[in-house]
Amino acid sequence: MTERHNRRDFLKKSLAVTAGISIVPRFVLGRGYMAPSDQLTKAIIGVGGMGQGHIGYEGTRLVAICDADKKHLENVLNRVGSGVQGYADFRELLLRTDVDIVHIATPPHWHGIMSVMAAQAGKDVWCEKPMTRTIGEGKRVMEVISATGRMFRLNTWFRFKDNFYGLGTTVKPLKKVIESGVLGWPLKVTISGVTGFDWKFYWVGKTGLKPQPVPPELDYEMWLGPAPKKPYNVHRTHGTFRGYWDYDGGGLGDMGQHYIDPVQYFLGKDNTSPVKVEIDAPQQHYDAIGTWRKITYTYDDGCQIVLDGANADKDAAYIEGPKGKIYKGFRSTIPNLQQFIDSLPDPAPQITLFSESVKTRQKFALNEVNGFRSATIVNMGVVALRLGRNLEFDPEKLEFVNDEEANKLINQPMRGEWKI
Amino acid sequence: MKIKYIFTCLFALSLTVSLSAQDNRTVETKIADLLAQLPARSNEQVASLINQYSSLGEDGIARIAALIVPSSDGSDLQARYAISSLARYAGAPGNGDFRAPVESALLAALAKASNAEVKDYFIRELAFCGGDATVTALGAYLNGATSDAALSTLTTIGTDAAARQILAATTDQPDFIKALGELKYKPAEEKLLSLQPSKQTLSALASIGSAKSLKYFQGAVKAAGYRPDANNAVLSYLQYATELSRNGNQKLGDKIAKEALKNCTSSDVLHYRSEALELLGQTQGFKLTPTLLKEIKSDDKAYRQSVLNIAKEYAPSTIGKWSSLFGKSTPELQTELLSTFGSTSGAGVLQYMIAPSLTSGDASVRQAAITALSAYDKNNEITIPYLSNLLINKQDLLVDSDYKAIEQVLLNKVTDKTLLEVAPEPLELNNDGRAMLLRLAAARATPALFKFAQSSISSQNADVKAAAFAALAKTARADNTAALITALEKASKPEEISSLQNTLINLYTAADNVPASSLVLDKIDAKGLTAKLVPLLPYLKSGDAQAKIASILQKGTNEEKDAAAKALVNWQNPSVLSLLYNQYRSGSSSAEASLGAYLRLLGSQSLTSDTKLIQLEQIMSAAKTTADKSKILQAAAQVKSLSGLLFVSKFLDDSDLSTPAAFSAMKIALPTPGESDGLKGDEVKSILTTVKEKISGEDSQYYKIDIQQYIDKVGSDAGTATLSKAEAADGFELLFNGKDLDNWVGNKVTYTVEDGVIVVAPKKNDSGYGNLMTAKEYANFVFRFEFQLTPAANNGIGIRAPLNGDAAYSAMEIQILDCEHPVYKDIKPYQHHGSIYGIVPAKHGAMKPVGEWNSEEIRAEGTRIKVTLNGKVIVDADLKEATKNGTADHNNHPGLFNPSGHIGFLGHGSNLKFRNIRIKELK
Repeated sequence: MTERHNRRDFLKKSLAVTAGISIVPRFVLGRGYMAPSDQLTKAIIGVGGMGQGHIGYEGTRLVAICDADKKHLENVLNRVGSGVQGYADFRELLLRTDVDIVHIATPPHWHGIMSVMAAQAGKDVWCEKPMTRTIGEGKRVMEVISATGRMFRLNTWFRFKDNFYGLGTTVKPLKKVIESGVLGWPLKVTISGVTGFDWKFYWVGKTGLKPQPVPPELDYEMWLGPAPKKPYNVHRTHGTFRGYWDYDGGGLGDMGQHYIDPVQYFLGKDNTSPVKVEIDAPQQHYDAIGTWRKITYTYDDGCQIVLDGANADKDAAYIEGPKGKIYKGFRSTIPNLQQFIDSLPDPAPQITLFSESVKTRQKFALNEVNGFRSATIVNMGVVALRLGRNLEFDPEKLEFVNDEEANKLINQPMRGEWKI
Repeated sequence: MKIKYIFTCLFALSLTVSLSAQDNRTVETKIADLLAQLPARSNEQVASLINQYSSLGEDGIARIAALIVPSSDGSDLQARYAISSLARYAGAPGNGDFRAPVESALLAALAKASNAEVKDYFIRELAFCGGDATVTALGAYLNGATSDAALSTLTTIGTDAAARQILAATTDQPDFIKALGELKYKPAEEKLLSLQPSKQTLSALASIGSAKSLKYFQGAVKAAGYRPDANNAVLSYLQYATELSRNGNQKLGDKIAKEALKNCTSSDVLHYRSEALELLGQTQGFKLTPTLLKEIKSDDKAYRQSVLNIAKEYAPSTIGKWSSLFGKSTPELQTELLSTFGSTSGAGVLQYMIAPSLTSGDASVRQAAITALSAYDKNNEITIPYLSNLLINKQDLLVDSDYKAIEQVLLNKVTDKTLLEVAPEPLELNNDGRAMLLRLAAARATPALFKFAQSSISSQNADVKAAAFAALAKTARADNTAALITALEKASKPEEISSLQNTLINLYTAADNVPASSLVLDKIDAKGLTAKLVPLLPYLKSGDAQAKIASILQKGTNEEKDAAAKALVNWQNPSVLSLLYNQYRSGSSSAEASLGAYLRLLGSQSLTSDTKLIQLEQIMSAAKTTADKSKILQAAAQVKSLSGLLFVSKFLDDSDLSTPAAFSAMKIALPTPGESDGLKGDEVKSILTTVKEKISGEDSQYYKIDIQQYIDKVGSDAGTATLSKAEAADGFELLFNGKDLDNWVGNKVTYTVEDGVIVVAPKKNDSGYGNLMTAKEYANFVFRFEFQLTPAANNGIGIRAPLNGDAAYSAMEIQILDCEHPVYKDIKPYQHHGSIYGIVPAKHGAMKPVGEWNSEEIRAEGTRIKVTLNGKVIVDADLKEATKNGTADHNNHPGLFNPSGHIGFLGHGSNLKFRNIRIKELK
């Protein structure tokens, strides 16, 4: 049926033949099997900040970048040299036939739409955290990734590699300790400065922003996309966008998945969600994100995740169970902990290189399903903060319980033609 | 609940009648007082403020809404907090009675608004509490600048009535069409079908999912040739099919899915096929299997996996069919089948796929089977027997990658005990197997395999040998110490020597069951063993170890001295600091490492902060290079005291060292969560100001923010609780000691002391309206103090006052007010800050911007009252003169001429601070 073609020949042919949209998954080559020496290609959408870090990821070859800010685009194009094309509109980039993986490093209000559109264009997706700005977008990403058979990964990694902030070790020994049951159950995890985590409260928004002229290099319309149109002010964009509900979730949105996803992993809660979120915070502004003192998530079985932004509990253990505790730096109340950990089997294997996921079509360690769950923990908190009240949640139906207004924040209307 | 009832009662009352005599504030004042408390400190406070909102009634809420100005102005910040608060509260469960009045007030405000941003704001806030009235009103806003907000709010409200409004306004606007689809509004179908097919119409009709749209879709997908197009026709068609099935029309949904399978055949639309298959799977369940068995023949790996992902849901009942396929599949497909079905259950998977594949002739299939076995065996019952069989009986078949796969699986499956079941007779394994077993023994720290490891260190096979040495380290226990020392004696290769040394070190640093120090100390003098055993000395608990190393450093051979110098660097006890100091100064090859060890040991809990500082100063004076000094400065960050700060700040002006000095200064001065609350005082503030300039590098902008926030919070707030020399000499005395309110009586809930300052902060269990008065009474005096306001703050100084009653009338009140705030734009002159309330107006213009500290003096001598603010006299009056024709506010002030009384702060529900409070009595 399909003859063996050299990749370049095939591309030349297809470009000559097709005028309209032609999306060719690269696995069409040979007998549907990609030789290990074949290098995967990637494109990055959003190269103003975090996106630049993606350039070097996993040795995949960069072929295209996109940004709504011409200066950001030019900057990076100068750095990466020839062979990379720049785009101002990501929809054009998605038409390319030679992109295997799309990296999404825009502000969070774009993550959902771009993940879905990239998957519908036949690409695999590597998306920055938080996975989506709303719970509803997260549900839709899961639906589309499944239907289109694409691979998805989030850009956080502490559940499978690197020393985990205040813990001082990787998460693996912690996972083993917890799976062994030696701490008892249920467990309470406290994430605060005391246990070694910084909530970055400098990501607050400003009120009373004066409208400023839109800089000529910025396509503000495209930058906003689905977000409500509010007068341009530089503080709403480029880094400080993190301080506005329209685009992100402050320090909680920025660091939430880094800090919370590994907790979800080692508590074994990748397929469920907390049933309650309680907040202790000053009244929030309707547009600019402020600080908070404490957010407490409780699961059905009594496990809790406590975000202690005020560092109120000066003696907090990182993990506390009925039979033992683990403190910052992996200090513990359990004697001979290291030997005990060594004797236990390692946790279930995970794929920790995205290119392996892409080639074998097996789910990555942190994918759209478990990533959705940890993003939901963050987003439940965001909804509770914005409404100013505690909420209950149904982990099966993925909705809030007895609170219509909270459920209205699950699927938030998008501006103009944008939809997910 | 309680609040709701209170609200409805008060609300009804407030429409006509004013409330009890206790609250005769005007509506303006009530609003100002309310707004002054925003943003609320907590959600509990928000709820308690609802009482205040309710007592204002719809008229009051309307007045607050009227304060909203374009957001860039910024002066309506508190009013916006109020409106947002109301909208969200009104939408909360159980607050139904609250909703209509709030909605009504917001709609009225919207109608009055003329500015686009203000309208946008109200429309979006109505999303939280809007009902039928909002839906009706918003119809008029579905065009022009308000269109987006109106559409957004109507979509959020999402009732049929809302959808009807949108439909009525729809001609062909893409965003309206989109909204109708999102609301799944069936009555819109006819309109949509009348429009030319577009991305939006197709998507909306897909969401609505009605059979009537079928022809419309068929036309569009035919025009697209069943391929991707600008209208996303096929994608929408599949979405349409999904929706049809969900709405009960599975027959049609399936028909469409099958049509897609028939037409979407080219290699670039395989993800459409995946979606169609998934749809069919949802309706047909396992009956789809024959189709899946056909589809699996595709050349495309991603597509095959999506087929398998669907098939997986119907295992184990369908496993027979897939197993038949298995035997006839290519190796690649076999690996895919194994990885898919491996994690399902049912004997068929094991019998027909996994077990036979473990001995397949194809390595990738074998390895897929090994991994699948692990996923299949959820209770860890069969993995070890199967893999053991491979390792012992099928050695001729296995290659490197097999051993890798087996090792990975065993790491996930075995404990230190069950590892022994893998190969009860390790010698039955070949070299690859032995090396693997030894690596696992190390990973699982299995003591029972120590003997095997020990015997394997003399293996001829390099891998086995290396794995054996590594295994020794983790499998050895205290009773193996003598055997290890013997092995060490015999070892000649450097890597083997160091491996054995590390093994012994692990034993001596174990949490318990530590070998006797004598085992080492008794042998260390033997020739040939000294240099080899010296590295263990730092880890022995015996005090003799330090004497031994000191003696070797002095009297040993060069080789031994060298080993001792290196070992000293690993010492665990700070008792060797002076030895390390000498070694650092000696400039020998161990000098640099000695510095590192010295600084590391300073972190020891057993040393006091002062001792650490002395040691740091000592080594700093011996330090020669910038790099070394920098390391010392970094270590100084742990001395979290003022002297530590002073030590590092000496280097802030040194261009080479200012960066490490600055970072350490920051770490010392700022709070360390769980350890210290940070340093305070003017000197600290001054140093931090310099530090802020010197901080550089990545993230420095954030550190600067943190430092400035700390300076603002503490550095300048630390009120001095001492009198200046001049004031002390002049006869002043402190009224506030900087620590507590012992000389004061009254409301110590609203008024508290924090960091040397009196903080006024109404709490949820007080009304914020009580006073704090001096315990003593004063007649004629000079009263001096400093105050810091928050926006719209309202308080007052009562003088010559009784302990109870309203001091403005039962005595005198010297007003404290943020009168620049817009909320006070209509107050009377005698209500202005510094005024003798109701009697004598104060001059304007002496107040510093809100948030800064002001200093004020009130001089009361007989009937003469003089108020000085920030050095400017703003009131200088004689009470008799001022009231000869009656009082300015035409009210009775019976206490105006009290000869004496208490001095106090008169709470009015605001947040502010006082400090530096002193008084001089006049005779």
